[in-house]
Amino acid sequence: MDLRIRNNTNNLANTALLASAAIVLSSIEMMIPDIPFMLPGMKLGLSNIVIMYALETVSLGSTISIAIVKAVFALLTRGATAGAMSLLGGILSVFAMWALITIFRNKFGYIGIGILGAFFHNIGQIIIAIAIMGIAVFWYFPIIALSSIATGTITGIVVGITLPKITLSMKFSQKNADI
Amino acid sequence: MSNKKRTNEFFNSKRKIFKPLDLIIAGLVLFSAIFIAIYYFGIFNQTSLVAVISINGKETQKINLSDVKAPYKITVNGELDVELLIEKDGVTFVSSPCPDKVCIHTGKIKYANQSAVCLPAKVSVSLIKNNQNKNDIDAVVGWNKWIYE
Repeated sequence: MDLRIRNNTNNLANTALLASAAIVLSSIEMMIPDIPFMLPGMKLGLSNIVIMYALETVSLGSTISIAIVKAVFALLTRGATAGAMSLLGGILSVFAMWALITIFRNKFGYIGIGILGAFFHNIGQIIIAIAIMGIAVFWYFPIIALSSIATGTITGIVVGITLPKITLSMKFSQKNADI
Repeated sequence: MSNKKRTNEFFNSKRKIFKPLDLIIAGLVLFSAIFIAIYYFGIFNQTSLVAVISINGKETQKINLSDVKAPYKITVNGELDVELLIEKDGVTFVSSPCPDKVCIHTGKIKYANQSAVCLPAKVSVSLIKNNQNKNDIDAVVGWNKWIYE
């Protein structure tokens, strides 16, 4: 019982930490100036890194709450459209990645998970865009799908390199807690 | 949800950065992009596009591209004389005496709202959609359904 309580506290702390990291990453992303050949709305999706972390280390529920926190942040800083896009995209991508991880376990690498997450994030965004601006926005889809391959690869590589190191530090803190 | 199991799974994570199966995901995404690009722009090609040729901002000529059976060339007499190739699926600047040749480098314009401009000759060509007919709207609704499924 003691273990369970401690683990829940651990989860809570990790979730809060990761949520704040997601917010920081998405605000850093907002500062990156528009690159000429990128169309408006194309983003690097840095906060997807955090979402993947949370899925791997905490739980599905925590990850969804992080996605919601992120959407609220987008709502407050960039308006209702951005908030709705972030919410639907975030939740779709969380479920897609979760399904991939739970069904196939270790068969896919981080790059594959990252690409799938970015792709579903874009699908969520484009659904909102179509609901607001009409079907004409759909011509964006191929471009945005291609960009999700690139951004998903980047996030996948970042997660793959950094996650084992974070894991080590978490292990360390848990050991300390045991003593 | 046993936390213990989850922690173990996490600490012994065997996940690699890249596994060959990732290529399948990338391939599926790429395939969907290409498929939708072809299909979607295919719909636009079926809707009749109208090429609007303007000289100095004034509309001088409208060509309905779906009426074009065989490609042909026309000469537009702006400030300079430029030659346009009119095809069923687009319009190209083929020759122009202007020094920068920006219009020629634009290549063939194929989609609605694209345009090509030759500034020295003050000639611009833009493609606009003809009024949507019922067929198009059906196709669009079909897409909508497809997305939400």
